[in-house]
Amino acid sequence: MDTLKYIFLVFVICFISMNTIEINAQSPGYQGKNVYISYDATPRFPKTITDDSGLDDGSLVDSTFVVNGDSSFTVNLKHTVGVHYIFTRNMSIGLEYTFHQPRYFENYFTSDIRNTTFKVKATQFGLNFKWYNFKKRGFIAPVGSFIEVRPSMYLVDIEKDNMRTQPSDEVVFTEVKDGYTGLGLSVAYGMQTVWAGRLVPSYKVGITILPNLYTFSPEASNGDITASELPKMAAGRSIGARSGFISNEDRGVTLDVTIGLGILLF
Amino acid sequence: MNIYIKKYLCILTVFAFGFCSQQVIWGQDHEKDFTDYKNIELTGDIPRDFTVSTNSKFERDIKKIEKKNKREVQKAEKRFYEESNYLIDDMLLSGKVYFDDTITRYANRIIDTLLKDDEELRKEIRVYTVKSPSVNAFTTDDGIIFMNWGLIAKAKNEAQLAYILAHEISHFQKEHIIDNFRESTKMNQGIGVYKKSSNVERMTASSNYSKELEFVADTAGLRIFLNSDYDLNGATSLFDVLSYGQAPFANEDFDYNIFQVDSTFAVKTDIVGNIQYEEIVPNDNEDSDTHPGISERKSKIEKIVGKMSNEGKSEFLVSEDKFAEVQNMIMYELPKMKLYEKDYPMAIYLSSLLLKNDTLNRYLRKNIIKGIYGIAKHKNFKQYDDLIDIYESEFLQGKNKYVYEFFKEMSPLETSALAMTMAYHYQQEYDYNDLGINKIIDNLIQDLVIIHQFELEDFNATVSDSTKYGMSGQINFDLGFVTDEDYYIDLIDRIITDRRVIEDRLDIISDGTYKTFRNDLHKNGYELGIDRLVVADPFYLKIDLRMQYPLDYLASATAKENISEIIVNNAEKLDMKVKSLNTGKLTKRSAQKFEHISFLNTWVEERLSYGGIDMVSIDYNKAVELSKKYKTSNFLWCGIVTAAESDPIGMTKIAYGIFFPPIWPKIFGPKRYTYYYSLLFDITEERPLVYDYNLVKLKDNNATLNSNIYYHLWQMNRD
Repeated sequence: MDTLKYIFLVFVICFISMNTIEINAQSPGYQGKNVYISYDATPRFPKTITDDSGLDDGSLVDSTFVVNGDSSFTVNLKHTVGVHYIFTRNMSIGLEYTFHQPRYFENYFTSDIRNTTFKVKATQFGLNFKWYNFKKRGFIAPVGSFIEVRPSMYLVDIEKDNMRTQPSDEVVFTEVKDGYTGLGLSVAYGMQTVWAGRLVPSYKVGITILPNLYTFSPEASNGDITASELPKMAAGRSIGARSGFISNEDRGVTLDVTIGLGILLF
Repeated sequence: MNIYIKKYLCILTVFAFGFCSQQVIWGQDHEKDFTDYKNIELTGDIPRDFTVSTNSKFERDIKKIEKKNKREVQKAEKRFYEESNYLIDDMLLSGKVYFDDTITRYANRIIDTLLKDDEELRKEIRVYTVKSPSVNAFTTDDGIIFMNWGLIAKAKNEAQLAYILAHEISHFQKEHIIDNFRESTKMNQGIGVYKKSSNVERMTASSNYSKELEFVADTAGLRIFLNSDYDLNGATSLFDVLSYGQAPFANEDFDYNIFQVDSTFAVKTDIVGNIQYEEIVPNDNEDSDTHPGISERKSKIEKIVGKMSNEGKSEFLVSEDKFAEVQNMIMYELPKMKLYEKDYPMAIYLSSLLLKNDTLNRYLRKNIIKGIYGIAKHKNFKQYDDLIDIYESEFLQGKNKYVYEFFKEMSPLETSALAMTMAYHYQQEYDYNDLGINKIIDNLIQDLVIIHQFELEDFNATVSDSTKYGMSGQINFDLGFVTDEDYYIDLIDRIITDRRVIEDRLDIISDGTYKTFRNDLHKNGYELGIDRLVVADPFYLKIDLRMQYPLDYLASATAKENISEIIVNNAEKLDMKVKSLNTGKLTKRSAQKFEHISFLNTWVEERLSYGGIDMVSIDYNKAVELSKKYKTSNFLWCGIVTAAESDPIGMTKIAYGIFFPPIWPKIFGPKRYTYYYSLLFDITEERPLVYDYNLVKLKDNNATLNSNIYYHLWQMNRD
């Protein structure tokens, strides 16, 4: 983990250094307003639609989910708030906080004939770099299409219930919370404009790589999943990670379609 | 754009024109003093035709569309009103159309005389005159008659002008413009009798129809003319005038002595003696698609008026003196118009003819100096051959050829020296403080140092026999005055010191320094520290390439009216003092503002036409006056062009759309572009300060406009 933190630090320093030279030619932002705050909502669509069920036929464990209540079409939102500063005519830098608490819970029927259900709460702290293509397309920050890179650190809290023998049994999260920390990297392409000289609506499409979270552990298909790996897998899948983006089996990648609204301050 | 303007002007041009006789009118008695002639300006109350918005005119006109016509024709008429109102307004607001000056008032008095018995019709007709040397007049569907100054200059008497106006009135009365348009639409779309016609047959029919309308207007106009007491010969002799329309207003020998300002100058007569010229021959206008031959028209009118009595008729009913005054004014304006057209030899020739009877006239002398200066600069920058090609492709008959051939043979150095000598002489003899003339001398000294590699001692040498500078030997000269004055010696020192900077500015450095400078500028932007500027008539054009007629005239006109407000709002956020001069916001009382806009548009058009040549502008003194009035020499020309084009929807796009609904507008909408440009000049230094543009692949919404306008203004503002 120390190594990861070190890499993350170097990563941030590199980004800032790369853009220091541009700061001399700082753009005025939108009519001189350089700072804006933003709220982004990233929907996680119902698992019944998007879940890839993940596990192979030969697995000894199975995955399903349970919902607080009856609806299996619950839409969950990942909430992100941020504050951004337009450094140049083609770049802004922001600090962001993301909160995500899925309203559905990963449930595994494991080889010990018990249902294990996980409740996940994820938070992210990230830096947000947006590049507006000024030279070729003429976009002037914060108006126009942009490419966004967002390195972040995420914290996942997990509560577990592994007392049930039937999926229909009531879920009671009684066990001690567990937690994971890791690094993530988001890349997105989006479009942003300004309404009424103040509001900054935006939309973007991108992916987030969560290298420490599993979407599917190879051991799971062998029935050899360990207690420590299962929560990671549950965490990854809970927050929308899908397998197959990087390889067929392990690391977590989420697909994000985000709609946002910002307010230009000054 | 040009295609559409040309197309419409073809629709509008319903009376064309011929060429002038060789009779010299100038020099007649007149009241006006021309010794220190001032060019005609836009003055008085601005008529409603100029101040009512294009959209309002369109709304008024579409009520005229007859519902009984086929849907295609109705649609075409709607398009006609949209297009014609935009282009007529474009012309009215070009600054070349005059409404309350001596010339236009005189033309209106002729109309008063013609229509003295028809008050209703008189109210509908508005006559404006156009600052153009071409022999032309035309009318619009709502009763505006445009009459070019070139046509008035060529007429022999008032009766001829009256007949031209009567002809144009009849076009309006008989609704020929819209009628011709309706018929053209039917032909183009194969409606009615044209259903089975081939393209060739349709084109022939179109040409014949236009010519038929001209004959109708000739005879109908004659009826109006005959109701007045104008001399009947005016109607027939006009056609002789038209057939000489391309020639200058006189055909006389050129007096080379006008260059003889001091004892050092001499033209070698053997060269002049070898110049051959062609006699001026009449043009019958037989090649025109829209107008019948001039002789045919003349004979038809002669048949009618030949049997009529001319008793009690007169060539002049308004005023013979006024006619002479108006013609004189136009003739004094013509050399300046030729300078703006870069027809420098003709400007010199016309000025020299007028100078024969007005030898001390400063205005004419300055025009001659500016003409020679224009030639010298184009020669110094190796661009005069391009001008010669243009001259030779146009009309070159008559004795004016002496001037063209003389300067064709002159070397760049000789021409520069001649211009400098004459400018210096003017300065000493007439006006030491004429800023424009002084600047011309400074500018030519710079050329000699930078381009011809002159050093101080070279100015003091008689170089007429030297082969060093590629002399033609046509003239001798001595530039010794340069070394006699401390000011010029200091100037040469400064030029030598700043040689690299000047070369950089003129883009004549070949080692890439200039390119590096431009790249740095593009990366970091400008830093000019300007807190006050004037925006000159911002431009706005909307194009939708998905439509059959891509130019959205009405939306463009509306956007143009509003763009000034957006610019001023953005400037206020930067605490900049910005005055926006916009023809979209003219009122009855804003003639002075209109004159300024007109001048500025002419100024920038002239400036851009020079390309990389650092010419002193023709009306430099007026530019200085304007900068004093607005307390800044920084003038900004900016504009926006937006376009939308279709963006086909394929399976890939549909797939994207299914997964990412928020990007539907991007995926399923058209491709959009917004192009914003800024051109900032210091009009007293005559130097471009900013030339920048931004092409954005976005719609021209407020966010896009504000971003671009603010960003450009900010670069100008920051230190």
